[in-house]
Amino acid sequence: MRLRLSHPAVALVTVVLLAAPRAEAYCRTTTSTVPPDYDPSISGCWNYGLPLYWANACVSYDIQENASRQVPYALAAEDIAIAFSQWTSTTCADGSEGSGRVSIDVRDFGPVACNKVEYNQYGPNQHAIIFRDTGWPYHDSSNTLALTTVTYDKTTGEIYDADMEINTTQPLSTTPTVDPGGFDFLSIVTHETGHFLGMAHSTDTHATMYAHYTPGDEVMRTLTEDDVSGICSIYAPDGLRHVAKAASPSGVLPEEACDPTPRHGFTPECIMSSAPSTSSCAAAPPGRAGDPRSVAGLLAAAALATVRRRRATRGSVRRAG
Amino acid sequence: MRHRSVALALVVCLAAASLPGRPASASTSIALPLEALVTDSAAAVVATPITQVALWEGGRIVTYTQSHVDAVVAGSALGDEVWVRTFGGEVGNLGQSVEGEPVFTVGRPCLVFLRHASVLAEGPAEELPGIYAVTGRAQGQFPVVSDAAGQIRVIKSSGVGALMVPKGAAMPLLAGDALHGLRLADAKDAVARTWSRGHAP
Repeated sequence: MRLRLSHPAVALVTVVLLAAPRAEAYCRTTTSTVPPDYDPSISGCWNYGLPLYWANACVSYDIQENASRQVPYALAAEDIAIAFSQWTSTTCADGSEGSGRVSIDVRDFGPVACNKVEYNQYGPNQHAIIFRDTGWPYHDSSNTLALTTVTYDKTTGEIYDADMEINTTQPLSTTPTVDPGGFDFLSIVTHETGHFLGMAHSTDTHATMYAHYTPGDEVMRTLTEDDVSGICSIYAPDGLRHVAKAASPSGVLPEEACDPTPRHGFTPECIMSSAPSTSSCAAAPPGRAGDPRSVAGLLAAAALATVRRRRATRGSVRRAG
Repeated sequence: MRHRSVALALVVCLAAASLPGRPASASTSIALPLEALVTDSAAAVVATPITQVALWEGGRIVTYTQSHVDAVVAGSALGDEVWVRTFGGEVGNLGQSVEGEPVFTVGRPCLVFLRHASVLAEGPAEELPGIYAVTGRAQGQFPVVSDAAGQIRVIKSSGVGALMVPKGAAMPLLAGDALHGLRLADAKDAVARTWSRGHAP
């Protein structure tokens, strides 16, 4: 028997198929910060903003010279290479973008002296992986084990820079078999390298990019099918980057030929830019970007705006009265 | 009132003038017990963001959020308004994503645990007068929301980054689990009770 579908029925089936949730749970980081009251496990990926991506086929990273007492340089270099290779050696299933290895690769540029997370808008950079042995410089009682900072162009979603910090004031497990209850260094850096490449947290509880780890576990060292789908969705085997329409009307961009040099060149040293101050406060002395005095200017301007707003409010009340 | 406004501007300027070049970030953290969050905080408040300023400090983007203090739940009195410093944000065409950092939206209230912001470098911390940071980063922020029945509740932030929950039978109640879903009034009580245990008079 042949089933004939009326137009409305066809439309309904089409709508249902289009609306069906995709099987994958991976998410991409976007230029729009996820609000704290948005729960991706209920509402799906946060799809506002533009998805992030590295435009070049090759990206470099560098490891802080001397690394850590806990994780000596040679061990750090070995484990971080393994972590990155989990992502860059991924083979994508045969899809519309073809099959084969993902179109992103990494290069270890070796040890760097710089131990600061920074992006230099006007000069050379490094994508540093930094170890904090003597103090964790954040407001979190040292409970953060690793942080990856990603700098991007908010008009396109292109990633310009990424740096990673490892909190080695906490005991980390670096053995092939994870200590029971231990925080596995290789699992942590495999997860963080996913962020480095533009992945956000997955809602798949088994994925490396899932937002919860179980101490003593080493399953995060290996990508799941969901992680693979995620990285393949950004860096397709055919060399195309899937981007927002704002970056390319077709929604894709061809990869740039392999050049792992960071934006504006490479330097192993920390070098701050000499950009003009962003301060708009006349009371603040001129300073370069990053100069705390420019902070004073901006905050003073904000405080002044507050005072003016209050005066205006009082004034309007008087007028109204 | 005018004196206080001027004082605020002065405090903010002085505080800012002492800021060092300091940058912003995805993260992996150990889940914090409520007691640890309380012990490490100078105050817990319900606050509503009013304005935000993002700027470069060193090679990083930092966002300063000015919030109205709706209620002091516990700890030191802060006045009507408070400045909170977080990492990440947007300046011009550039943005920095800092997963695990608290995210404030103007007009959206939160229960937040605050500590004095300090110079963020390795070694001894140097306090930044008049500027606060969220204790435990996003683990110290609980958005205040209205549920389907119109009840005002607090929920844990979805922006805490990847969390590791330490193992152990004696593991104290985690902050997120302790407060998530409570009515705001109950959450305030829970924090105040824990505060009285964690901060000796």
